[in-house]
Amino acid sequence: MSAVEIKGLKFGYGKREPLFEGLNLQFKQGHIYGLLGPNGAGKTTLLKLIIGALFPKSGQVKLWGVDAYKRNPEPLARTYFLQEEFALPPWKPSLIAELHGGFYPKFQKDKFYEVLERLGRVPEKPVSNFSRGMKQKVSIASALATNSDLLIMDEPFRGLDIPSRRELRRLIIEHATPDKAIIISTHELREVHNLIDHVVFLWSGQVLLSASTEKLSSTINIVEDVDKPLDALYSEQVAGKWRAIVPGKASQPLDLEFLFVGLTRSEQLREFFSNYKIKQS
Amino acid sequence: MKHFNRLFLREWHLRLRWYTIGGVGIAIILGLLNVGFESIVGLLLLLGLAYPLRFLWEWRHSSYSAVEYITLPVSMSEKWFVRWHIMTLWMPAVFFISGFAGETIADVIYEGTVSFSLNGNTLWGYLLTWWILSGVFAIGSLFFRRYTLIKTLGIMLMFFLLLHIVGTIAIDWDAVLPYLEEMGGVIKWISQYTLSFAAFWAGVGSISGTATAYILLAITIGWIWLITWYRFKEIEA
Repeated sequence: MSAVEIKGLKFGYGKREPLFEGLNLQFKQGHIYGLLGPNGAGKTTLLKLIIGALFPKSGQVKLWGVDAYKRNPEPLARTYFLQEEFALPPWKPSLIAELHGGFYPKFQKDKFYEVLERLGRVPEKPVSNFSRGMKQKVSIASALATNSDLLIMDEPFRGLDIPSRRELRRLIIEHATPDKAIIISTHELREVHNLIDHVVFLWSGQVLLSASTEKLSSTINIVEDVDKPLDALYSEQVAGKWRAIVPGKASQPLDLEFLFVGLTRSEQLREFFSNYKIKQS
Repeated sequence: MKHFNRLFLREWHLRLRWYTIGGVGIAIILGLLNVGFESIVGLLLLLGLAYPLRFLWEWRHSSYSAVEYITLPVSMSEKWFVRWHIMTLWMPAVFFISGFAGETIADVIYEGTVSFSLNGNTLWGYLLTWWILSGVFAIGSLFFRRYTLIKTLGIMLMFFLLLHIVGTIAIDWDAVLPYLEEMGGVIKWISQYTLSFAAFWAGVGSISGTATAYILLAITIGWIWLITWYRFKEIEA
């Protein structure tokens, strides 16, 4: 079953140019999705549409088969949205677990403390006085302790120190059982390149690319050569060598960051993905 | 009402605690300034509008707290019921109890004794005015989720005017004027409009009287005590 199904979505803020027009997308159980796109592409807006905080102008956004805008408790009980922006209340972590956990049927208080412990202990003091990173740890602990079937994370690595980032990657992998879907919206591609198994790239109000990393690896290759490859879809010169994205099967693990740069800079690469019709695969 | 207690507790820890402490604090300061019970309550009532206004702002901007509130797996009707409950019961209770506190302090300081007497009609007037105002804001916030600020304010204003027109037609101004006089002071200076609105409802409340006011107050104090005890008992468990 699709955790999220978006059909013909049209959305815009006020009377401004629509941000999305005719957008179609699916997020299925058993996958970790990387939601990528340049600044202003609408990643956070799309996440807010998925959880029902914003309403589509037309089209459908279904969360666990129910219209998201209806904000039904049943699909929301299976979903958790970890926001990028924080305005955490002046509550101690234990009070957060107490007040917040009760709303989620699968919430595990033990897991909340376990995640906090693994990410790096935080003091039992009001979290509003914490640093950005410590607030993030408490929020991540709340999110993972809910055991939600759909976990949506907006820039989850922001503010975390290096050991905590490593631990968070492990925690996400542990959370990713076949019955769960995870959507990670981020610009920190080096943190997620070994984590995600499906890439969704937003561009100009459309899904330019929605493909599994496996399919991507069989579609494009990143090569390095002294000469610029003739079939390069995108290339740049690094330390006297050419680094290029070319059609073909990947000979090494996919460099998501390089692909991201290519997609934002190369019309040719964008056209390639449009023509190859690997969207929605 | 599966999640009522949890939502209420959440709201208490988020906002109500500070509204309660703030209400008492302001009332004591106003009491020391000897502005009078009605004016204290009137001013607190106006300040209390910050509570629904904050919701409007949060909904409109899909701010963190609003988004977090939306994603809680609780039905929208239950979420709204809890906020409505807070606006119609908790907030007025805070205003009146704070008003009493301020007035009692003023009495002790300036007169050396507690010589407080409560006009039931005035109490009803303020209480009903608050209910109407918070109701207008609650309705406005429903529209606010879909429409622009100007449209929403327009809808709210129309709703407000409609109530006012109905009130003006129904009102017997000769009967109401004495109540209007009773409600002078700071509130008059702050909002003549609210005052006239309150006066209308005070007229409606003239069927009641002082006894009703005391009963009402006893109920609200009892309720506030009971609900606080019950909520904290739950969280301790």
